[in-house]
Amino acid sequence: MSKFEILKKEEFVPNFYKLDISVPTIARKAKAGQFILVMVDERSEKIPLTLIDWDKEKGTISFIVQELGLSTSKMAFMEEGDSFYSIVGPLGEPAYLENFGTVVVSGGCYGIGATYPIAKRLKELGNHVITIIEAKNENLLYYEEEFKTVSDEVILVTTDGSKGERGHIYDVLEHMIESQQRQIDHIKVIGCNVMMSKVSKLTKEKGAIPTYATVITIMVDGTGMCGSCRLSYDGKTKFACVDGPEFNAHKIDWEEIIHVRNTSYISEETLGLQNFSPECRSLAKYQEKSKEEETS
Amino acid sequence: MKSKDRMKIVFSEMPTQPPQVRAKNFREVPYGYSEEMALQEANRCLNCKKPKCVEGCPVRVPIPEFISLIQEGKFLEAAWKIKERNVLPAVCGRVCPQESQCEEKCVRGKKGKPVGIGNLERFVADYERFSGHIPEPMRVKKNRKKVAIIGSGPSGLTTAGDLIQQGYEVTVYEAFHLGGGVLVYGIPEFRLPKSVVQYEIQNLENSGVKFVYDSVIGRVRSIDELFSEDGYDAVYIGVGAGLPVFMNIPGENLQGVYSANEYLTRSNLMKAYLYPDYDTPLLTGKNVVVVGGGNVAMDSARTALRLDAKNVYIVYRRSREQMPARLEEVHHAEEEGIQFKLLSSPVEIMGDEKGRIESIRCQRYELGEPDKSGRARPVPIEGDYFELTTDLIIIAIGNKANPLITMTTPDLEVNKWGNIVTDELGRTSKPFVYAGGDIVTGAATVISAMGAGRRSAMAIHEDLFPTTEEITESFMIPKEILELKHVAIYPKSVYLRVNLVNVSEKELDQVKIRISHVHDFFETTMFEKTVPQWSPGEEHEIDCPRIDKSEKEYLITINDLHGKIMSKIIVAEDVKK
Repeated sequence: MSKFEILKKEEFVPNFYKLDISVPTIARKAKAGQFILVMVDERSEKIPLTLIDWDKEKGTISFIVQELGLSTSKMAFMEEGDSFYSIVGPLGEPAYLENFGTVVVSGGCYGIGATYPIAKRLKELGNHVITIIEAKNENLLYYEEEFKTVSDEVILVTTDGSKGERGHIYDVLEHMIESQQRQIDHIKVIGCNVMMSKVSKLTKEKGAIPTYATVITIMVDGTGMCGSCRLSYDGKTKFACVDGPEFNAHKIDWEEIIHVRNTSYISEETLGLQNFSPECRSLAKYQEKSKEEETS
Repeated sequence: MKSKDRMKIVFSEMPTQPPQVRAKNFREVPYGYSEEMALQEANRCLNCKKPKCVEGCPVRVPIPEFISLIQEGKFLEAAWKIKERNVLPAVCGRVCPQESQCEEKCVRGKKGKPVGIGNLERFVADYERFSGHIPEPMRVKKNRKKVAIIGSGPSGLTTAGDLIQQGYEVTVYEAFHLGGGVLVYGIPEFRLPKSVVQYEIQNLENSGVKFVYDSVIGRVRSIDELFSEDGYDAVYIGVGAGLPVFMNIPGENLQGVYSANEYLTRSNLMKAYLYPDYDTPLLTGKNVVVVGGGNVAMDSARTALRLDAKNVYIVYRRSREQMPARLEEVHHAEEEGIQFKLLSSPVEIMGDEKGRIESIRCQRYELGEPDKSGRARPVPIEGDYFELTTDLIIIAIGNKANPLITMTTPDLEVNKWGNIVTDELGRTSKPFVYAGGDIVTGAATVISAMGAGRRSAMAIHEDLFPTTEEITESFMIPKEILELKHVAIYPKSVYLRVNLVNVSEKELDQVKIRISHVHDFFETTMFEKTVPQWSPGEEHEIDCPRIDKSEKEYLITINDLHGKIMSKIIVAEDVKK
């Protein structure tokens, strides 16, 4: 088995792949909430991906890739038996986990997978775990069965209402908080920045329920050396790669993250995709459009 | 050649790419000396009896010796002579601040230009590399001790090079996918071609050093685990400074503001300057502002210029004379058209509604009273501001200590800035853990990091093989084999009569006697003699013409055929009678 070899690749919903890779050193040390930096080949960018599972005995790690930018498109083209050029990890501080009581674990889009190890560990710690997962439509929802094994309740949400509740995570949360059926002691949220910022705003206003968000920014080295991942937190500059990636959501300057920090390379990324392959050109256009929508 | 004739030879100016050409490419700026130029420059060296240049060198390269070899046309031998003290000559010839080290001390500099020591070092190192005459790695008997080195920058590579030659099993852990540390992520191609670094790492690999990439120690392994699980006997931390300092002014998190670390790492390590052939993007600007006055600021400014900037400004708080950058870099930057805004410091960065930077506001400064360091303190002039239109800002005002290792090693003592506290030889508060380079001193030079690496290698060896009766390794011979019979000090030489005792005839088959001066833990070889056969009990006379009798103490070393040290004796003032 060569270094960083793909043992298993699975496209479980369109454009979402789960990859199992052999990296015993990382599998041995990984903790829920940590991430890795991946380079597909020697010309690739380093991109951060959250670990969703690992097996100490087999020496494997798993992560989910959403085919979106150049690197993730390259990954989508990789096959079982192919190897990555570089994988560094586990990076970042593990998530803040203890027996809080009742915990809502929520994940949207690519954040659904990243939520899994956190729910699993919270359940092990004796929490009452309520999982909420969100996607655009029924076809993009995944991991429902896996979540059922590590949660006391699983709530599905789709934007178009094709499965589960209609709307977004914050709509479900708002309903839960207002109906007062159950006291919520702690909330975890992982997903796109806009969604996380809305959850943060809601829980801050509705009784300041402790809410922790996982912020995966643009990164280069993952060791705090470059400052690419810096964000304003409680009036101070923090580095997502060494201080995070999980932060108290109420102290994060979400405006800055959404409008400034994470949109730096849209035009470059689009060019990179166009150069990669003709098939990706349409994807590039789609991506540029959706990012514009997200930021506007 | 007589000294008078040597004095007449003029300095060989280093040929370089013309500024207007090189400002548009990433090829190396100086072309390097030709053989003729190297010979001419070497012949300017007066071969001083008391070589001051060596004192200026943090690793004590035997400068007059290697230059003499160039004078004789023995270029390869000259390179190997340097390598006795410095494992990275091709790197140091390019990036050392010679003007404040060896060349500053050169007597020829008192009147005119000093000998181009850096240029000559570069020449012989390149000559060796291109000749393909790679010296066979020394065959060293393994001593069964394992050392882990964290970080493959200049200090880590030096420690690795020194320890492998003493028989250690050496493993270097590197966080990135390529080795070299700051030499690959920080210093651009036009100043230090990456093939040079790659070659040096290859040499270390050939001699047995193991490199493990993609490994962030502190995360994938703690220092304690390196000892308990991987069975290392010692750990050297050479991880560099690596935590960028920002200015804490409004607008610093806007799009288009980089730390120099990020800008240079993207460009150099991730090869963003070759985008889109390589995937990592890098924002480019038409009007680029670089804040800072060190080598990193010069490197960032000159990189931006090569990536099609129209105007590149360096904004620096102090005056030109106070810039910490290497003289040659400031000179090259200026030639290429970098514009200097001296005695100025940014106060605010302004952006548009999309979060992209538009301009930077700076305040003018004047020089006031000297501060603690003796440099005139820059004082802001009230109400005197100016604004620069800009679409890219690079902050190059230094680095703090990266906390990743100290955070995960609570018993490692750090100072209030987070730098690891060590003794002179790099010993930390934790047994068998050593540290050196920027993580100890704060941001400094490549060569001083190499010096620290060398000192730690000595400490590791001293601690793992203490020179007492406890030594069990068969090849180690107790140091009491050298008996000093007579010492005489003459005006121009020192005479010694020595006797070897307690050794078998076999062990004395061809021994090498070396006499050195010791300064700050560095040995400068002053005399070397090979004795083909030395019978036990036989007295030998050694006349050392180059010994400096003003020295308080000197070191006599006896090496066997394989270069293994058999005995070391320090002769101090009181026995010189």
